Amino acid sequence: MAKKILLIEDEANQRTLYTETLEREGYQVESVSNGEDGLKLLEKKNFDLVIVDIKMPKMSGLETISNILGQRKNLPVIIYTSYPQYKQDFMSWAADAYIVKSSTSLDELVSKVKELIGV
Amino acid sequence: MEQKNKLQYEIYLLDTICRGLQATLNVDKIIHIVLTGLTAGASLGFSRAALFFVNDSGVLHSGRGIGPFDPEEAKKIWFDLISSAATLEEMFENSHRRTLESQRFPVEIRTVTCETSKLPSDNPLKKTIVNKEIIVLKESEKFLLPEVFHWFVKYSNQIVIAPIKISGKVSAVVLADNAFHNRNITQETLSFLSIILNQAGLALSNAFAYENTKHNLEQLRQLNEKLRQMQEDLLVCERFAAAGRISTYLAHEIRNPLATIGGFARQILEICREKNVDARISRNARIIVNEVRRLELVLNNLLRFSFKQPAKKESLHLKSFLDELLEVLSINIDDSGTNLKVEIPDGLYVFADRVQLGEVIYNIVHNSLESMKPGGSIIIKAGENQKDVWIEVTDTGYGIPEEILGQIFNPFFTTRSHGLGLGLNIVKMIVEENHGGKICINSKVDVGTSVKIIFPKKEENGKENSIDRG
Repeated sequence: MAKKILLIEDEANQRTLYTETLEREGYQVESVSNGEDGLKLLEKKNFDLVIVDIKMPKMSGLETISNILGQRKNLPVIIYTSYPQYKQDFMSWAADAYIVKSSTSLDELVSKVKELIGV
Repeated sequence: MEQKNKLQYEIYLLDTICRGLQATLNVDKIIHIVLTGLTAGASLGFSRAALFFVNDSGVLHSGRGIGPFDPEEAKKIWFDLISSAATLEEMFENSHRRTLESQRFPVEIRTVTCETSKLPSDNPLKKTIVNKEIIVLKESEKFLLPEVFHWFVKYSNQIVIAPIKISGKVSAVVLADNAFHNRNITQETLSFLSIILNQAGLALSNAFAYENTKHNLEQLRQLNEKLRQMQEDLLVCERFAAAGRISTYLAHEIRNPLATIGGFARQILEICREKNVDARISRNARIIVNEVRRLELVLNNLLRFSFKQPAKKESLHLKSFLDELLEVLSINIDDSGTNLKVEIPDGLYVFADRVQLGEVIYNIVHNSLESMKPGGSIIIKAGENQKDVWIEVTDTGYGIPEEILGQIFNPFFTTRSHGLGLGLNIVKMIVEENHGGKICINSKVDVGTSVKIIFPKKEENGKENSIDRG
């Protein structure tokens, strides 16, 4: 059974890119464009890991994360964002990993996912 | 008739002195006019005159004097005066410094100081200062003066001590005598003296007020200048702050699509590898990947300066790390016609933040390329010792002049017409602050520059070394 990943990312192109990349690695990925939809999906289905952006419309990544942690305390969370400046503020409590988006950071994302939930 | 001539001369003297005093705001010149006026010609009858300032504690200081020191000098000076036939005005205008300093009397006067507060109240000098009155000492009384004046009064027959008042306070004292000719000092002379010294008091008061105002104005001007400079600095700061906000915003807005473009291009590249498609597609995808990476390095530089990011250190295989990074720079290197030589031992690992080390090498190599003569070369070497790993980038560029070598790490320092001047500042910050390392630059104009960065190794027990920058 493939491990399930919930991807919360507001940019469609990036959703496609990350989904395809992770699927190539053998994961099952479901993606939504905002935190609210993500939480709804999380109520209905089981996931092994959540990847979430920080700046998103409707509900910010941080609000989303605190809600997720309220529901599923031990669910691994990766913050994947283009804002390097929040790393110190959130890393310690909000997520298991904080990865800054770049053209080469997908490799890092994949290896972090592997490290947290295996293949 | 003679009496009438004398009176006429005295009025002329008084008039000339008063006009002279009114015409200047220079303290030295006022003193010169007073002393010259008192000793010029025969009418007032003083052979020597000295003026001392009195400070708030009653100390006499900064004495000036005109006149001969002894009978021999007296003969010489008076003979010179007669043969020069100078008018009083000319004597006022003559370089008073020369008169004051070239003879023995003024020199001796200069050395005299006297604490009048310690004198008994009936001492004539003290009485003059306290009672603000003119006192005439006869021959028999002259040694009542403090001992420091005894050489002065040795040849005197009569000595006058007179105050100069500024705003009702005695600010200076004049001593004048009739040495060598011993003509009697008359009541009339004392009246003239009083008038002259009153005028001198007014003139000195104006001169001091003028000096004071000038000093205050200068201070005000300096403060104004400082304020203007601060306002300018503030404007510059505001501009930088605004530029910082704009660049942070822009950098972020550009980073997102860049990550997407680069990510997709990498996917294309991988698909090309797997499916063995047209080599041109693969080459083009690689160009997109590299160019995106290059843009990201530029943006990182911008963001790095705006806020501090800690290093996320890992063991990096230096050779593969540099091969990948230099591929990104290969377009610039090929364009400049530069020969690049990389000599990295295969088993070398450096303990550093991947992104930040990339920025460091990018900035250093970029600087080398910018300062390169056509056909020059860049050599990248690396090595290790027990505690550290070093990477050295040597170029055969124009070199850095010695006089600016001390400034190259300052933010916004650049010798180029383009560029922000942030590169080396960021390199230093990343190497030293974020990695506890060290950076050394050696440069010789027209020979080239060598930049060596040293990173501490990770210790066996997991702790990091740091380099003593002593």
